[in-house]
Amino acid sequence: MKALCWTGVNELAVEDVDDPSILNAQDIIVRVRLTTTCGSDLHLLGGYVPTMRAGDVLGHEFTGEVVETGSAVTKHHVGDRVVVCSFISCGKCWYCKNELYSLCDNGNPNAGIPEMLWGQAPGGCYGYSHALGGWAGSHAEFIRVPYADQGAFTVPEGVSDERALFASDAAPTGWMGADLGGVKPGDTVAVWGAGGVGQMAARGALLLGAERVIVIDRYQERLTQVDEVIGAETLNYETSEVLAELRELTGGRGPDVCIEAVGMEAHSDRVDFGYDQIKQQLRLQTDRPTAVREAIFAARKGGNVFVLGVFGGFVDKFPLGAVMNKGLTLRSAQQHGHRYIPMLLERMSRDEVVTEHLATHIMPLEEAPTGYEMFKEKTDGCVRAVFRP
Amino acid sequence: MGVKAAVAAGAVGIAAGLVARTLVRERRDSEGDGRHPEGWKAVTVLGDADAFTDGGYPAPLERLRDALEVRIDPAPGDKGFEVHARVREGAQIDDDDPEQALRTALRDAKQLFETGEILLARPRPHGHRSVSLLGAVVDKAEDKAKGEGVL
Repeated sequence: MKALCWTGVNELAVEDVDDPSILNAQDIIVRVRLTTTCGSDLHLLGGYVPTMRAGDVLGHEFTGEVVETGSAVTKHHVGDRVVVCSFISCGKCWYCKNELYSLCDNGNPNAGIPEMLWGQAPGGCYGYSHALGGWAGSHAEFIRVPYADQGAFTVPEGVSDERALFASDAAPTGWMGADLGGVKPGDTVAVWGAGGVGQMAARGALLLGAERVIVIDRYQERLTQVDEVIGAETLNYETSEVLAELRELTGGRGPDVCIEAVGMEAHSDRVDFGYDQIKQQLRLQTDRPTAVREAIFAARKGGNVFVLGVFGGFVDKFPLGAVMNKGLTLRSAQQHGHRYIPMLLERMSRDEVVTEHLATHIMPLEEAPTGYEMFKEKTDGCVRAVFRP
Repeated sequence: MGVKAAVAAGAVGIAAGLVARTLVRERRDSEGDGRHPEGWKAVTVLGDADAFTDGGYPAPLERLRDALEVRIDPAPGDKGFEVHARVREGAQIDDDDPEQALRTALRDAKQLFETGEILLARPRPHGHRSVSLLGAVVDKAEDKAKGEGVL
């Protein structure tokens, strides 16, 4: 089959690879119908996640059709249209039973690698390095889905592939930021990043009752989507002083909940961005926490900060003093998608959550290297490049 | 991959790994391998402890039974039970590294008991695997991943 492979730092190629096969009784094989780029892929592409191997198949956010089932699969049948959570979770361990699915004890066969990096191992993730299991990704014609009764969800009739696709990752990740960030009715919420995850965090916050939601970015086409589709307010940090604007918008208090949806390659026009960039390029820190810092400074006293963006290692000049003295609650996670996907598919079927506008560029898999270039450089208003194998 | 980019990517991993290693592998005075007092390693398993031992341990742990001391304790709260194990002094295990064999056995026994299967990761689809130093490091890390870590 054809698959998009990472072949080196900033190098991708569509190659012929072996088809996947059922290896465990709880597996299914899915024929991929749509698979999307994600901002976190850019960290892999750029060499910021060191446990990549030339030939690895990328992609973790996808929808498709079941074409084969293992003997222990009970929930799915050949022909089912499914969306699959990007994280691989067994549904049986203590973490899964407590709805902390991305922390599954059994979804990552390479647990020893992240244990050496982080002290404990999260679950596995499709197409996201050997630290997260080395699982082949979804930018391919077919993909193997382990623990399929847990991780694959039937798409309701009436929900298009283009909408359901983002129930795999962007929508549940964003919703989690609002939910575990503690958004309550009447809150003011600020979201850093107007990509797919940031937009879904904003939508989640509104649906959880937030009175005002403000999304911060520099790409006007994304902010226009936030305004027109999500229904939140916007701030362009290239034309606004974010901290001052947020103070003004909140009567001097600061947002109740700040959600960071940017990650390790954050950009800013502040002085600390230059500092972070130099330190990261010299490998004196692995990640740029520029947006996290701003979120911490912006949050009201006693407020919550949720880090949704992906970070891999260590950061410098982390404002722990602000966290402590302002009494902030700082929380983070990879997505616990299994707890949200059924609810999100229901909301998608009622048009309460819409996502298809994120797929600004849909193209054949053969054009995926071009799609990633557009996505990385944000050319032609690209929010997400989506591939149809 | 460009040489500079490859070196930079590798440097990130090595730097992060070295710092992390000092955090998670702090050596302590003990009679074991320095990571766990007296060489004990442990996993916490969700389920009924009696079922775990009924008719012998799950196969991956049972295979090493004669070479191990095993202790099973209840875990606090709703977390199930703890399986502690260490290699008996002077015991022979065919595997090259008894400590890696023990870690692998504990992980696999827990997974088999909790989920009913040992999750297989390979073979998997992949493109051309070019030969490189960093690639070899990743391959080796993956080959040993289940037997390594801080367990």
